[in-house]
Amino acid sequence: MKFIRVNMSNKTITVEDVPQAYMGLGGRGLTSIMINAEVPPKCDPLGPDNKLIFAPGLLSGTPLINTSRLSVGAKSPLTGTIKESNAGGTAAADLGHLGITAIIIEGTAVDGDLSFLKIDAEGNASLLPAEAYKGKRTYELVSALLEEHGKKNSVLCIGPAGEYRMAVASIQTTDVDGRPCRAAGRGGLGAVMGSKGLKALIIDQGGKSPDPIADPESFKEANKTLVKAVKADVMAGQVMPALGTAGLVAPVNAMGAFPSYNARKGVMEGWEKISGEAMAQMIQERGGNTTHMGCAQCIVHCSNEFVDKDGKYVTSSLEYETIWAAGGMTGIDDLDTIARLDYLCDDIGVDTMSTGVGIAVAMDSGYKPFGDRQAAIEMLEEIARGSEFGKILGNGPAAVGKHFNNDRVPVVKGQSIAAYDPRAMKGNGVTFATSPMGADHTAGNVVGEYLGKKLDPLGVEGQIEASRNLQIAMASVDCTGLCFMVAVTLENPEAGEAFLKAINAKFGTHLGPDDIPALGIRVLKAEKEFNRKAGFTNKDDRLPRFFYEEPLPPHNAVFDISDEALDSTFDF
Amino acid sequence: MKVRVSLYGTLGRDFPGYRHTMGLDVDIADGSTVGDLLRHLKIVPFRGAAVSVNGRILDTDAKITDGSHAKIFQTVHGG
Repeated sequence: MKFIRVNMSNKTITVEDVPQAYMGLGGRGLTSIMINAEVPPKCDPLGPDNKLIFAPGLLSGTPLINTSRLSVGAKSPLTGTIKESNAGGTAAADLGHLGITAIIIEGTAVDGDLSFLKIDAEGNASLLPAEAYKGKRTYELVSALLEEHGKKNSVLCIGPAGEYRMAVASIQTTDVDGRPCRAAGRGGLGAVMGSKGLKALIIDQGGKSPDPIADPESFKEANKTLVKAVKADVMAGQVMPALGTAGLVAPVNAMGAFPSYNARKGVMEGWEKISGEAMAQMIQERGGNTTHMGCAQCIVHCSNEFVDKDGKYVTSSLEYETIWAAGGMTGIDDLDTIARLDYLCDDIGVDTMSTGVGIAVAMDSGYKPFGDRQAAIEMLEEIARGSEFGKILGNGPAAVGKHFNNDRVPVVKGQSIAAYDPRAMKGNGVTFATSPMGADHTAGNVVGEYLGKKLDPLGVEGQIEASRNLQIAMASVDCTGLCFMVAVTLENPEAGEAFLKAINAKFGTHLGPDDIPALGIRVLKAEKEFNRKAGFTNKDDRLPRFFYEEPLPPHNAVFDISDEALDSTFDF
Repeated sequence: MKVRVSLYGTLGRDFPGYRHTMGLDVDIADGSTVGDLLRHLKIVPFRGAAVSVNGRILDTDAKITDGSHAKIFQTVHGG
């Protein structure tokens, strides 16, 4: 249990035991509570007072399945709020194997300085010069770094967009095959990393000094129960390995809630061509992998390897939200173009969602027609070049809307919504409006409640409660390092009990079922407090006006949850 | 009555020769419900099936009308 603090202003590295105030925290809980305690809320997100925190979950690095989720936290340059961006891959497990609770990057780069931070197999940290890699895209960079430092390293890095400090810049992280195709995409944390002059974090995968497990036998039993529950679960055990998250394209279109053509329609014409079913068939026919292990210790294998007509690797993993942003929103009904856009986003280092939505806003403004494949690729390349338009697109959909004087920009607090239109899935609208992160589906996605017939997506009744409960649950889960695909199985009482047992076995605690949501509430309160001190009020917890006024076909619904109801979401 | 059925997720794999572009044409008794359709297709409840007609997810006791196009999905909680 240790913190590694790295000050980029004076290039010093300090290792300290985890202070009492942060004991028992991991992942999002640690990043958010630390930012609320240590970062001045009104600071410049790209200045020396902001901190960039990498924290594995409480269970990352243990043998528990699917626990390699990493939380990256900072004040966001995109939203101005507190931000936790969550990524898979292998890095969280590696940090856990080294007994590292968090790496905290402080200060700012001096005179355009660029560095790597290397963590070796003993957990020692050192800064290395990276000037020779200035401007490098992520695939070429990672390939060179793994050549130099050895294949058994995980890399977290930024591309040109992060170096330009663009507000949609991502932090890319390597999957089990050493490709920078996993991302802490949301909130522009790549720009924060760029402002610190940190091009990459290189972590040795051979760590053998994890924090101890208090009761290894009990932990093992809990793991076995969880494995069984995952295998028996329809979503985690059947749909995810077959189609991945792309399996959502069909049901969300069928429900009329797939924001298309910059959220002008709820069903995309030709969506069958970009569905998970179509994608799986295409990948299979071309000899790619529809089922692929992307993250350490994963037994779900929701990832895929998309290949071109010649069977050559294009990208991994093509996911629902990216298919929507690069396809549905732009009107591009071609998986090859969408896969190319996904690859370019990873390579340049930008969030696929905010970037796809930014392109859609430009198309909606008449800059290029909807469905223009080549135009979308060229717009993305402009980000890498740092051209005038590239800088606008790289600063997010709101910047694009402002440039074209178009107020149809589907963002909350500057961050784009996800692939669930708030008019046809109103609980998702509640989450987008009220999450401390800005619009963020991972903060509390209600879609499963609709498909499970527990809630009417078009009704007003029950939406606030559904969003509230899911936001609390996700804030708790994001502390542990557990992946969402397995988190959904915790509804099964046996799995839920096993997960609690694993936490208690790891830490030698006696937590009860109520202690888990209590942790989530504590985290949400810290996040809300930071935002309040940064100047945000309940007036910021609203959707853009057009969602309230412009009916969405085919149901012709508008978002009609009242402001008073929205303000009650965090009544706890 | 006749109902056109499209199967999504992994459900199509249980119907040899199922082609997504064609779907299935199903003959069932007049007045059948969503539950009757699922039983007819032997899609048991644990497969997490959700049935949509005209853009709405229906309860299992909802009636289906002649000539409907039913889309059958498996519940997914997010992406």
